[in-house]
Amino acid sequence: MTPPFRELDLPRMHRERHRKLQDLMAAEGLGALFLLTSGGVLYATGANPVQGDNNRVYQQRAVALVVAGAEHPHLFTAWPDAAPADLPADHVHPCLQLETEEGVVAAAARIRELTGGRGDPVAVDDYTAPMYLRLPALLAPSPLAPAGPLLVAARLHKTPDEVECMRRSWEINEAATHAAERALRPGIRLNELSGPFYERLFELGATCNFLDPVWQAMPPRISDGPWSVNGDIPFNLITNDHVVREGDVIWTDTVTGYEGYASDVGRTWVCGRPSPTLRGLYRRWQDITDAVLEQLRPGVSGAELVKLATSLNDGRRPWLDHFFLGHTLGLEGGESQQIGSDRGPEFDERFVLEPGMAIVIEPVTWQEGHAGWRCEELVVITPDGHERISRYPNEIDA
Amino acid sequence: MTITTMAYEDGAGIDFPSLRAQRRARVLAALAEHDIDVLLLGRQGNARYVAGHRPLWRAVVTGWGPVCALVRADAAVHLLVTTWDDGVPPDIPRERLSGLVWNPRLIQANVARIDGLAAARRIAVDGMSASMATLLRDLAPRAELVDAEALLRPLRSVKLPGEVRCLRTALALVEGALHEAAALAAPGARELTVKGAFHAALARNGLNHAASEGTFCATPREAAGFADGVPLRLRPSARTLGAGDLVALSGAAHHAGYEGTVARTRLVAGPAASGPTAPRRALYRRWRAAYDRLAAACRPGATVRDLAAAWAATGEPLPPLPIAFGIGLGVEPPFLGGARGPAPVDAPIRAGTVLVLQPYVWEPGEGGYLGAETVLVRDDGPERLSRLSHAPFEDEW
Repeated sequence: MTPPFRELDLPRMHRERHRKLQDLMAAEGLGALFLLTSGGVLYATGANPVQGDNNRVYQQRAVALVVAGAEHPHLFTAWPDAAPADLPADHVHPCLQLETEEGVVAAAARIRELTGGRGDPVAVDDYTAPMYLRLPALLAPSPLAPAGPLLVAARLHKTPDEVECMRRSWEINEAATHAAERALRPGIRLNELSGPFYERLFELGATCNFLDPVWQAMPPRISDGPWSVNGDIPFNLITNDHVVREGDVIWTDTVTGYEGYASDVGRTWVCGRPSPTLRGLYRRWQDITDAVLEQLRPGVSGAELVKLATSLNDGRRPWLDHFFLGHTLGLEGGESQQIGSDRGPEFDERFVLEPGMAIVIEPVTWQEGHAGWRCEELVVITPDGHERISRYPNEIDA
Repeated sequence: MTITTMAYEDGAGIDFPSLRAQRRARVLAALAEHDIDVLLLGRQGNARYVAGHRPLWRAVVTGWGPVCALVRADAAVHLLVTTWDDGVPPDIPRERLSGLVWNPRLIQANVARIDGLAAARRIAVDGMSASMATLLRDLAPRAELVDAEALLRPLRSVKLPGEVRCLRTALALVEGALHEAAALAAPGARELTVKGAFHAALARNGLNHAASEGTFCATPREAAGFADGVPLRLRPSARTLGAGDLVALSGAAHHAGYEGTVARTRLVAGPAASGPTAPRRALYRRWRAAYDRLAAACRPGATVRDLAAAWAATGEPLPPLPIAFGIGLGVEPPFLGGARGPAPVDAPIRAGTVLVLQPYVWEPGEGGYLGAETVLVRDDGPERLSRLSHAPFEDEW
């Protein structure tokens, strides 16, 4: 029933993440982190709530407070059972109300109380409007600082336990995606593919789903629409009730979680037999992917990978204009370290692979009139190379 | 009433162009009333209220950034992070769309394209992040920022007839999926299997994601190991259900952005299948009495504090779940939390407000009863929009 997973020690994972946050806070001279984003709270506390729509979360959100030098983080939540067993009960507090000015006044009082109100900077990762309007004055003389860069730095390198969560997340997502692929046939509606996907996903123990699953019948030509601001291939669109026909090329994109760690499985399927042209597009995609994967090791820059992939595609960049050749992956989905994005060549040159980074590579090949090929592959960078995590076969090989 | 999502030429029984126009007119009137020049929205429910677009849904709560702008001077709606016109209503012209970008310079350029922002004196925002605050100081140096959430809350809480129709449709679809999943809650079934069945049933009905992953858990019979006095597990696990378990089932999903949410408790029938025992029937009667008290408090002019008083009058301890909340384009105020809050936002209940009332009652040795009902507040009292039965505890309501 459950895939043969390796050892996972969640309390150790929580301790190591907490230590990293403490080290980064000390380096920046911060007195506390006050975190509202779901990823920030998850990273700092390991809280595992029932996943839901943003509008639901705003009314009853979990919030984390990490105090410099403290052994454990504080978690404010309406549902104490969402707290991990290794978080002491006296660090789990009732929910804060950050939607109103009165609530923000009360929250500021709690922050002062738990930090000792020493006037050190407090880093915050997001603001409700009442927080933005009132919190600076309420916490003075503590200045407020952005917590985003610190969280990015902490999350970028994965510990062995984090890597194991990512393996499980990806493996379960692949199995669920495969269940959807088995249901593909002429006449099925695309939204129906989500049925077998969810059944398998939750049966295998995925702890949440992060993204409306994408099953998209690709237009053969970009001009077949929909219209886009950048004139590039429109992907990833919202899944609709398109009735699948033989010859349809389907691109997928599913993001699911294990203890918050995201998988990001993207595949290309063909209903029926692929055309000779599409086979050629697949082969080119495989060549580019193999060549890029072979280069993934410490010290290689994003710019080198961009150059390599582009040289294997007749000088055109083989990825979507609004996305990238690759990105790092962690809690909840893609992280902000991308390769070949609109951030430009300097960003790619500065981004150098290091052990512990989880990298998703997602090249695209395309030919007008025939659609194209896109899949996502995950590796984790090791001291002497990388470990491949993704294993979904391209059946077109057979 | 016929419930359908099929795309008839007359618009699935709901006149969406008219609904969008009515919502937008309300928002523009509020901007005029509060002398606000530009509305910048990052929250999906707010953005959808103004634009009526279909964004790609994510469960993740990320840092604030604008996805939708409404400019009072020309009533123009701008959508950011919108790379194509799929899911964008035809009344928003293409030149007011800007795509998904990652480079801070490009983000700035897209925000700067909102005509009227630079000269704005008052901008309402429904959140803020450090980077966006810097960006807005550059792009709209003279603007004072005010809370957009407080501005939109009263508008969103009074539903238009088309919105009630969307809520009924969402409820019908979610109730159907819960009914299908409940049929699997038999001895030996795993909780996770029941959860998967709920999500699969939603997907078959065209709802590609849930608004809450939901609870499909046997209610505990003992309080040991739970933080507060009213034990309830919310996250389904690999455990199997046993005959005689009371299983709390709850889930939610959107139709056109409007959320149907439903919760019921089912008795896992053993081979004897003799129906609920007397203590279980008494437990259900406590649930029903609590619901009736809450429903009686749902009158125009009441506030969240009246709902809290109604709960206190039941004598039941506070459960670990919210007791009542507004529902529309997702969960919204008024919101009355459970044992651990949050502190209530004292929003008034108005005619036209739609509320979910969600009592949970528990008895040692027996388990708990969870049920959620959706009601529309009318001048003459609440109308129940939810319809799924509470069998075998109550056959006719």
